[in-house]
Amino acid sequence: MNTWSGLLGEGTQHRFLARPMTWISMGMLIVMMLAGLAACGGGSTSSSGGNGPVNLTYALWDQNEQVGYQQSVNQFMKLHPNIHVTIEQTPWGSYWQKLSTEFAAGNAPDVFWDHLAYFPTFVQQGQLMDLTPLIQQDKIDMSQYYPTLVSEWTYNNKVYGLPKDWDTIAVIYNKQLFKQAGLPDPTSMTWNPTDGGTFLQMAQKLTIDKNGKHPTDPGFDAKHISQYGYVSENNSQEGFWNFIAMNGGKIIDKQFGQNFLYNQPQSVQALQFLVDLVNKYHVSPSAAETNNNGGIAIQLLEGGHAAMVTGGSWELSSIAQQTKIPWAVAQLPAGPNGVTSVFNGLTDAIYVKTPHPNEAWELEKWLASAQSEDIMGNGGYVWPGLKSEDQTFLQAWQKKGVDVSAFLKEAQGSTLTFPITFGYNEASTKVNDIFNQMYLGQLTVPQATSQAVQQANQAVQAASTGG
Amino acid sequence: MTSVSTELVSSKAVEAEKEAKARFWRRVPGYVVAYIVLGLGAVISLFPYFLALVTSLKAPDQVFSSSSWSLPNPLTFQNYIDVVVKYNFLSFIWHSLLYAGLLTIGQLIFSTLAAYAFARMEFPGREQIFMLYLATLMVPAIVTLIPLFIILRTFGLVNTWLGLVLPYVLGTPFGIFLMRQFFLTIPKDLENAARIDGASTMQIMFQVILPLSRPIMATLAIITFVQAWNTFLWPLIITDSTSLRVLTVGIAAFQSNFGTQWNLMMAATFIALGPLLLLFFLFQKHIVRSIHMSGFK
Amino acid sequence: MQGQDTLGIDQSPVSRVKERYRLQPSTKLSLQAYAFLLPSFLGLLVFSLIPIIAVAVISFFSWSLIGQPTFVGLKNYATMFSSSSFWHSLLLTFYYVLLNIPMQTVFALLLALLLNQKIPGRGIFRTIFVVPWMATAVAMGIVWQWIFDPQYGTLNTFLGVLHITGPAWLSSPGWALPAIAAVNIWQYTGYNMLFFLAGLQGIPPDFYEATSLDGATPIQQFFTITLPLLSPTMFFVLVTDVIGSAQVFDTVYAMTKGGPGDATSVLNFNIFRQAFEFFHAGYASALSMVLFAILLIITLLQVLFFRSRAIYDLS
Repeated sequence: MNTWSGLLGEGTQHRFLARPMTWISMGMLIVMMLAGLAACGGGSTSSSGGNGPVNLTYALWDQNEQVGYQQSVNQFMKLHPNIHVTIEQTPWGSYWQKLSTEFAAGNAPDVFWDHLAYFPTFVQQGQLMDLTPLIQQDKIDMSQYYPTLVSEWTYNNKVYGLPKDWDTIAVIYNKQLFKQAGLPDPTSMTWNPTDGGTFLQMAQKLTIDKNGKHPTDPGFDAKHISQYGYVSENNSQEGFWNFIAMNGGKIIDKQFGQNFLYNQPQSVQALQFLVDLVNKYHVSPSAAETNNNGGIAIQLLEGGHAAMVTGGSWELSSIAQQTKIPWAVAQLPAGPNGVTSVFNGLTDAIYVKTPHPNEAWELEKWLASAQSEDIMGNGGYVWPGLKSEDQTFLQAWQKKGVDVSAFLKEAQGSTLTFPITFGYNEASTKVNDIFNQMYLGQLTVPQATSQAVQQANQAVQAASTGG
Repeated sequence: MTSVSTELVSSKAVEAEKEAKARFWRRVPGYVVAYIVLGLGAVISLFPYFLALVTSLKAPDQVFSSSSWSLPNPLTFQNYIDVVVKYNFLSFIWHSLLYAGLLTIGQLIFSTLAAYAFARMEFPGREQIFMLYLATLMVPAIVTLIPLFIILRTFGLVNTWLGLVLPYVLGTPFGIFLMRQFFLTIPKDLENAARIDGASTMQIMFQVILPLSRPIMATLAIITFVQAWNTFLWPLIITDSTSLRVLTVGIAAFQSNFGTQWNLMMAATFIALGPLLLLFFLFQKHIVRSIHMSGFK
Repeated sequence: MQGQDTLGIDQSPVSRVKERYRLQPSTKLSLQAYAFLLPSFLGLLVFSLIPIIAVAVISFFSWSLIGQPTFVGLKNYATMFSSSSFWHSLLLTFYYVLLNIPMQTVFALLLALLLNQKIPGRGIFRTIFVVPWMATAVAMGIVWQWIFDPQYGTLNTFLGVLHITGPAWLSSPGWALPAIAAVNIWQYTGYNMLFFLAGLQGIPPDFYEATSLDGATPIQQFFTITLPLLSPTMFFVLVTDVIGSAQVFDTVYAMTKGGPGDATSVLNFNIFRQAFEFFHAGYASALSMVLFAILLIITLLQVLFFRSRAIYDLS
């Protein structure tokens, strides 16, 4: 042994690592810890014990709404002592990845937040529980919900979720910038594809370059704009869908249809108007800034760089948290067909393979009930899906000094159903890519819309055949 | 006699001193260039963190009303307080610590063993089995995690510590590859001498190989720990409850389709970064024993 | 003596049996080697090999993950090879690896050489350069988006001071992928520097002293001593970095989501999108198998290249 210690010289100072006992004890430590971990398990999973409480898992993606839902679930558990509900929150960016992996393993949560963009695929593959017989059995009055919401979650005359909230799109604006420009609040703007109406005029007066000039002034520097009148961006739900509808156009021929209608004249006109706001009238930031930049419109509003945005009612909580500018809500500018907003809502879906269908149904009913929806409305998170409970959200925001009735008026007026169909994700990705180029001015609107329709229809047709 | 030798000595000393000074001044340009390069690299490396830090110290309403690099006004630590108190991050830190720690220990033990076998032991199929290990690195984890999840579900290990840790604690091809390369550079003479002295394989491992492997084991430990600390996908898929949630998932939760809380996310990122910086700064001495290479510019 | 032959070797039946079944030294060593490999191999088998085989099998099916798989034979592969977006994706991935790896490796090596010397502050600098690798991809993706923002970002503002109009970076089809490569280089140069630092420790300083005395310049020393003796490390760095960078996903997902258009739609990002957004897990599996095959070929080429060049044993 001494020979090679001599060869190594300084190397043998590291006694600790060199001793076999160290390694054996570390190995034993790790084996013991693994055994300990195996024993203590971890979180809870659904149990199927006959006598013990039933464990339900409820999956959602929003950390802030989770606070409200935990309160709601706590109340539910008081009323149903034999049911224990565990909320599992997964960040939005990975929610669908995790959910589909769990479907693949046959291990999905009992109840989970569902979204119209994914609803067709889930229902096509038969993973959602049909709630229609349960609704009939418990004699639930579906007319208490907004009819559009119920129909959005119906496929082949079967209902797959009870509406628990809704959202519409309205104008959210910076009151201070309007005052500075000497303009009245934008409560009844109009727009049309020909001359832009009062909406364009207001946007122009609210757009200022670094020298204080407006787009209508001579010498306006379109390359150095410090304040934008409106953010027109490649955004379907909060942007162009609404304008297309207000111009008399449609997005898709019918729910679960196979033909997109972006290339129809009314749609093309509306899109041309919105693209012109960016590249011709210069009241909006360039698409290089807004493309693929989720949340940029709200950010610009919050930072005082934009006077108006069109945003969904779900944005309000984060706006309230993240800015000190005085802001308010107004209805969308009325187009040739009046005011129309996209009308969307979430439901809770029940996993078709849940080991506890009865208990899951109890939870579903509760989450769509007035008591639960009130908790969410009072928290100012979302508009409740029950027509009767709208007041809670309205009052919650009144207390904070904001009048959000514009969203409600639109919900009660003319609305556009969120377009859904098989292969929606693939279709909308292709549309999004093409429209990005359109907003950049790299494709003309007629070119872009005909390409978009062609590719989107292809994707939908492939998916409808179960591909 | 003495006075003459003193003169000789003192003149030699003066000569030596002149020589040293000349050598120093010759090296200065090299040092200047080196520090400019290093300084530039440091600015580039740290600037994004500066943005993140500045954001983490801003109140939510300031995040976009000022440019991303402007200093917070006023400066607030509320984000850090919220992250720890309101969002439970201390428990996430503990979970990440446990997870990364276990994986690191496992990697050090099991990868070292395998690496030594590949580097120094003769057995049939050695090169082929090694290629098999390497080959498993070439299939994207995004798809393999689906069957992996199904396997763990079959064992009933979903949402458990064992399920979280087991797939990676028995050593990874990456770690084995790294150690093997290092072991291959250890002179065979040392081991041969030991064998002639009658040492067994285990004795050679512990008395010859491991003492020499401190730099590479420190490197492997750091790399495994940091990689495990920053792993997102696997913990996301295999864990459901907050009692197992790790830092990366906690940080991602600040990003919702309803709006991202940037200031909180940046504060959480720094909280997650802290332990890693500490660990690295403590360990990096072990990776290098600096050797002054004379004459190298 | 009974049982012993002329040479005194024990030839009794029992001892002959023992002789036949005594393990040869080579067999004994092999068994020892297998024992050393056992724990990691078990892990590999259950948690790596079996999932990979499963993925290979799934590639012959059409599966939405959410429903039941249906067998489609080679249809996924046929679709793939006739799809222009697949070839585009593949080309992009190659382009990305070429943008990324050479620069990263050279920078990492230079930094390691520099920081291996006894200059003051080396510990701090080493830490600083490794720090980019330590942050979560999500947060860093967002910060880099801020930096690259065409109108309000640091980079274009800084370029503006120099009177240069910066491109739209992440919105520009030509600049988006290089921008992502730049972020990746930023992130991993320090990490690779660690490997080179560790590798430099294995080079005895006597080599440099000896050749210095012979009059070799530092440049000559680099090419005749440092580089050859770093070849095991270089082999490791190149193999793992090529494999890792061909599978880039996090940065693309966090920063551009494959855009603008399909300018950053690298293969692994497509795999994710096909599996989890379009619900074509079978097709995604087929894409993964093709990526695997390509990486295998590239790695084997690297193995062959380094086999004749790598110097392991100094003796």
